[in-house]
Amino acid sequence: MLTHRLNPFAPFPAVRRELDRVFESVFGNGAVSGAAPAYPALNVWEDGGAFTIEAEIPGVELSDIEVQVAGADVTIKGTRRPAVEGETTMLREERPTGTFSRTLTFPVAVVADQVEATMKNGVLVIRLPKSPEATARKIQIKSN
Amino acid sequence: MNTCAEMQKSETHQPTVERVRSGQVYRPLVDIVERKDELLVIADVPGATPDRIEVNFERGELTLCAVVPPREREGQRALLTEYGVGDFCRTFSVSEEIDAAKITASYVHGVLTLHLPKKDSAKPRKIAVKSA
Repeated sequence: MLTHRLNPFAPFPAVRRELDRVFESVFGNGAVSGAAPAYPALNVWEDGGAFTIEAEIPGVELSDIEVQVAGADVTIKGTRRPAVEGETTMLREERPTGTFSRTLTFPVAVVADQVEATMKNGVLVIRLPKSPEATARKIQIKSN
Repeated sequence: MNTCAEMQKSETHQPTVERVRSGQVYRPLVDIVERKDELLVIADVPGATPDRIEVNFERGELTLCAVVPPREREGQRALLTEYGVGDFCRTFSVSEEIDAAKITASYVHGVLTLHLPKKDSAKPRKIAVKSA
């Protein structure tokens, strides 16, 4: 029996609202309600200095993935080729192939020339440092 | 070229396997290719530890299971969670006669590829027809 995965760590409503604001453009890939989810699925984290995007893209090498950064917009593009080419009988074909592209809009700009991407066993990890202007906003309040 | 057909990682239940590890188990997406002399099973198992992938073929059932270690992000706050991370497991029943001793497997870029050679008796044979 197959069920779609439910996330037991679904964000609290307050966080969700923030996410909707932060990522409102994420799902704007022409997807309509009920449409299949965008590929690849993404997990995103943040810490004080950077955002981290992780995606499972098995069968694709890092050199076949393009990461474009424009201010706060980050686009991940690539192509997944069929594992077997030529004359074959496919008994089952579940693995998606073709070109993919996803764009995320972050709340602050990221430093394009410090973006680092790694790929290991089909798991892509992209670390995007936040721009210094964005991280320097913490204001110290002194009490007497 | 097509755009990627969107498919989601889905959960699986393996009633025949008793798990002692906690966590979710996912069903890997596969392509299965038939060739003249072999079946090819290609499974997406991203993030697996290569030496902890198990493949078993017994009484016509092929089972593949891969252990995927959790990817901890200490001190980071999740902003978006579209997929879960856990082990992969899936069982197939194979009607072809397979030479189990000659099954080979490789794991490259998160993709597990199994070669299942057909037994000689299952291979297609060209029968020469003699005319008198």
